[in-house]
Amino acid sequence: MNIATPDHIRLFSKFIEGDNEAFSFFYEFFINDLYAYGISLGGEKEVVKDAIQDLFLKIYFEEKNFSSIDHLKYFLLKSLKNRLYNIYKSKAVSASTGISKDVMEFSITTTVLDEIINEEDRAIIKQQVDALLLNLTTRQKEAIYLRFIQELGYEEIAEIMDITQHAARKLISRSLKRLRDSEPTLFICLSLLFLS
Amino acid sequence: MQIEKYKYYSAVDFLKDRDFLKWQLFNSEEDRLFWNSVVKEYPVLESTIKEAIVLYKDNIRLNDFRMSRSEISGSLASLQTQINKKKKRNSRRIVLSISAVAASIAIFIISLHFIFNKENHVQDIATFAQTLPDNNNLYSSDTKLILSENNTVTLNNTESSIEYEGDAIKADNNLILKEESSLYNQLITPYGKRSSITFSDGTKAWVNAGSRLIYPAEFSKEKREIYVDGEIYIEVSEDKKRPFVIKTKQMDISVLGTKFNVSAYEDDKIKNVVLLSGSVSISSNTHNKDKEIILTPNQMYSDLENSYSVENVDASVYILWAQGLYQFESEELGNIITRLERYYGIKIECDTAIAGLKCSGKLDLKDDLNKLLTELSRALPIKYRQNANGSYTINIKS
Repeated sequence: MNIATPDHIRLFSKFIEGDNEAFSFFYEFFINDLYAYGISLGGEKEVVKDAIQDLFLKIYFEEKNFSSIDHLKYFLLKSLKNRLYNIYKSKAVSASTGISKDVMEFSITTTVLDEIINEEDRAIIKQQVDALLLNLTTRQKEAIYLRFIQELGYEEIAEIMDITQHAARKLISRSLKRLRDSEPTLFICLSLLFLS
Repeated sequence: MQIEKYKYYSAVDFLKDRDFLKWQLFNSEEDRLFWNSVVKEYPVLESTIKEAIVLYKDNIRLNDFRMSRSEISGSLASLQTQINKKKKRNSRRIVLSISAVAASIAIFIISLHFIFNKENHVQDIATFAQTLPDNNNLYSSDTKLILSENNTVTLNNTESSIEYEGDAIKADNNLILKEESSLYNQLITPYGKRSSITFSDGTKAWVNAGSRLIYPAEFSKEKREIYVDGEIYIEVSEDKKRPFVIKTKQMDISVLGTKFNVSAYEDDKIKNVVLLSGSVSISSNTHNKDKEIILTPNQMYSDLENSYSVENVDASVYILWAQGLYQFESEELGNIITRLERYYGIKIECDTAIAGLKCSGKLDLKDDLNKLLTELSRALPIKYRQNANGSYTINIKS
């Protein structure tokens, strides 16, 4: 995942000892990963921000039993998900809608930055990526996101998604297979469009 | 998968190819082998594919949700305030050990030329501001934090950070006990310097060059009031019970919890307030005295000598200076030069014949002034020279 430089490792051991400056450093280091994951899970901006604050406040005053920077990141992502889940679960109950479906739905949004590529090409690229991900279930999307964007290991993904490691591997390999299989169908759809 | 179709592909064509995207997204062994075979078949494609990979890495993001830099530093500051509150509750011992450290830190002391009335605790902040002399501290080479008549902290960083946390005041590397400061503190940020300050309630302000801020070390239970001569961008912590009031010579701005920019330099003809979020109410001290003007986000209030206007603007442009950027649109060159003078703390003389030139663009204030003026003179019909005393002169290009 993130390349740990000697500086990072030094800061990390200071963080474990409860150093303030190192604490601020890792707060800023992880906040956007956490924010992005919270929003991807369907959380509202302010709710996600508050949840992140609570998380760090708690960590500050607790024993920091983290074996590595990766471990800390995984712990933060998992705790954020649990916290958001609890918030939205209690909201759903209080709104008396009952929890018939998942309180949180993972989604993936593609952004193509406008550096050199022109607008028309950007639209096509975005469409192609979206089409690739279209046929995945929300759980498959989340697994893929954690694996390839947040770059977590299977063991950590399994923990976060509350499944076995074996199931996590299967979830991801099935997603990749689905990506492959989806292509011919889409191709046919496109040709039909041209015919009509 | 056919390989032939790639023969004449450009880098952007690859980015539109689903197989290429899949390879970049998930980097599976199977995809890697396939793309190796493509390059083997058409070696000319190697550089194009490399280019496409760079384009992909630079431009394509999944779930790219971020908080802005100012949002992050704002939330870090509020987290620290929460931590300090909790610490205070949790343990008396921690506070004591901080005090011990604070006591051992040396503090620079200079004598001040004004009379500080320590007894009069009810003195209004605006009245207090008026009693201070129009000092030329703004041309000093250091930022000054004046805590009391005989306690001034000198900060020589270009960008200083001051935090009021619990019983202590952190100013760059100095740690001072709050009890050493008197009722009102002053932060003087001279030309060429910037600073940021976090008040006791967690409110954070970014202070632009050539600005003076006066505020109490601890806000009272009923209200939060600060006085500004100059420019700040401020993110006010919400506290429904204690409105936050920003006083300037010309107007008062009341808020509950919001983000906005105030530019009220005494020597600028137009003072303005730009609102990012929340809502504020403004009352002028010179005209329409009983009227309160309410701003909604992305509106700018401008206070002229004896009238005012409200217009819709892109508020984010007005706070770019806090990140070291300056964007302007059909702004007169003379005004741009005034801002640069303040920001860099260097005198720039501008020929009146070109002061009215309208310019649009964006400048990176992290560059040095020389580079910046070179860029300006490339875009405009002007030339500049540096004088022996370090100041600059700008003339029309002949």
